[in-house]
Amino acid sequence: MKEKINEIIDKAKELNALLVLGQKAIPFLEEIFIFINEIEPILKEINQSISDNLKRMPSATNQISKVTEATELATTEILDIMDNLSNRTAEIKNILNENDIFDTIQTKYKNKIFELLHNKEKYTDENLISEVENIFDLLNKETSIGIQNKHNKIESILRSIDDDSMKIILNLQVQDITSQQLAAVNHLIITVQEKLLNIIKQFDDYQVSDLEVNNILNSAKNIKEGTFDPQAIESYSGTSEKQGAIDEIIKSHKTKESDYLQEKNTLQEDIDKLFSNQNDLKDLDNQ
Amino acid sequence: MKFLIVDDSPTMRRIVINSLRASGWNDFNEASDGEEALNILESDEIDFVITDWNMPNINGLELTKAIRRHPKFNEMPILMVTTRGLKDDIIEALKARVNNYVVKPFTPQILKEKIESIIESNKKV
Repeated sequence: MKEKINEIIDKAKELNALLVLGQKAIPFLEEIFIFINEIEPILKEINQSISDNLKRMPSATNQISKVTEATELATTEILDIMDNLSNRTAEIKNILNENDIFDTIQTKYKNKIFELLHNKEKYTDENLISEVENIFDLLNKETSIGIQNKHNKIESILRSIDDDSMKIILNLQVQDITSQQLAAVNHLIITVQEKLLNIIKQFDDYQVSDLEVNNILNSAKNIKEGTFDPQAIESYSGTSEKQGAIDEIIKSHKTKESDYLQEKNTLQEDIDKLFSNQNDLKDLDNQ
Repeated sequence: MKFLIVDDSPTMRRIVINSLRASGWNDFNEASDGEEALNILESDEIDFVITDWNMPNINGLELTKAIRRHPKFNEMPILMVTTRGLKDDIIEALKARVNNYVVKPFTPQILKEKIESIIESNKKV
């Protein structure tokens, strides 16, 4: 019996210890509960932010890849043009150094003069002079034709050099296009930075320096939306087709505008007619 | 004829100027945004504006609207040169009353054609 009572007393002591522990644990559990309540929206926000930013990252990566591709394409094209230009200038040098044709012409007419002098007894003095003059005329003509041919060849090469320099101008515009594209990527990175900054600010223990905050805010000020075209890179391909399509839109818009103006004019004409009729009616009334 | 070239990219301004020079035009002024352009219009004798769209402070579209509202410059020929090639953008630019629209990258020949076409249609008016 005594043993049983002791056992009951022990159980009661255990129960008492449990109640004491419970009393001590409840405020702690309450604190945990409050903490979880507070942290839950922050964790949700972090989760959302990470998810949003993860979605944006492939777009940024894609845009940077496109910038690299466009820059490489433009650089390769410029290098090809430079190779072409170098070949062209070499061609000009060759043409300028080409004197064979003039040597041949000169030799041909020199021989004719020698032949003439060799047979001078067949000619009177006057005829001889006239023959020499003819030979010089022919020499001048053929030399002029040779010079003109050289001139034409060089002119054609210069025209193609001109075309090539225009192609370089076209390709150099990639700088503006890629800089707009990079501005779009920068804008995206700054947006992510701002979001992360907002999250970090919610944790009291983590101090973000004013310098860091200012740096982020200043970057955001420098790259405002609207100062760049996020689709700029798309304009780098198929420009001539694009310009053609744009010209069509402008043409159709202007036609519509002109039709509208004509309609307006017609209306004004109708109004004028109406007013002139009213004047006629007034005149009739007065009569 | 004196041109005002408005673009925030110095490279693009240089490319436009080189293209104009290749076509025989030699009188220019430059601005890096719409705000600077409006100041230059007040102080210089400008006959033709070539503007980009995406720029800081006042962009090309706002600049066009500001010019069209201005009693002194409202008939100024304006050519928009931009990377924006969407139909909605072009219509928005036309509604703001740009005279013509060139998409980047452009050839000097295209630029010349558009400028001459604007000059020609202005003569007719």
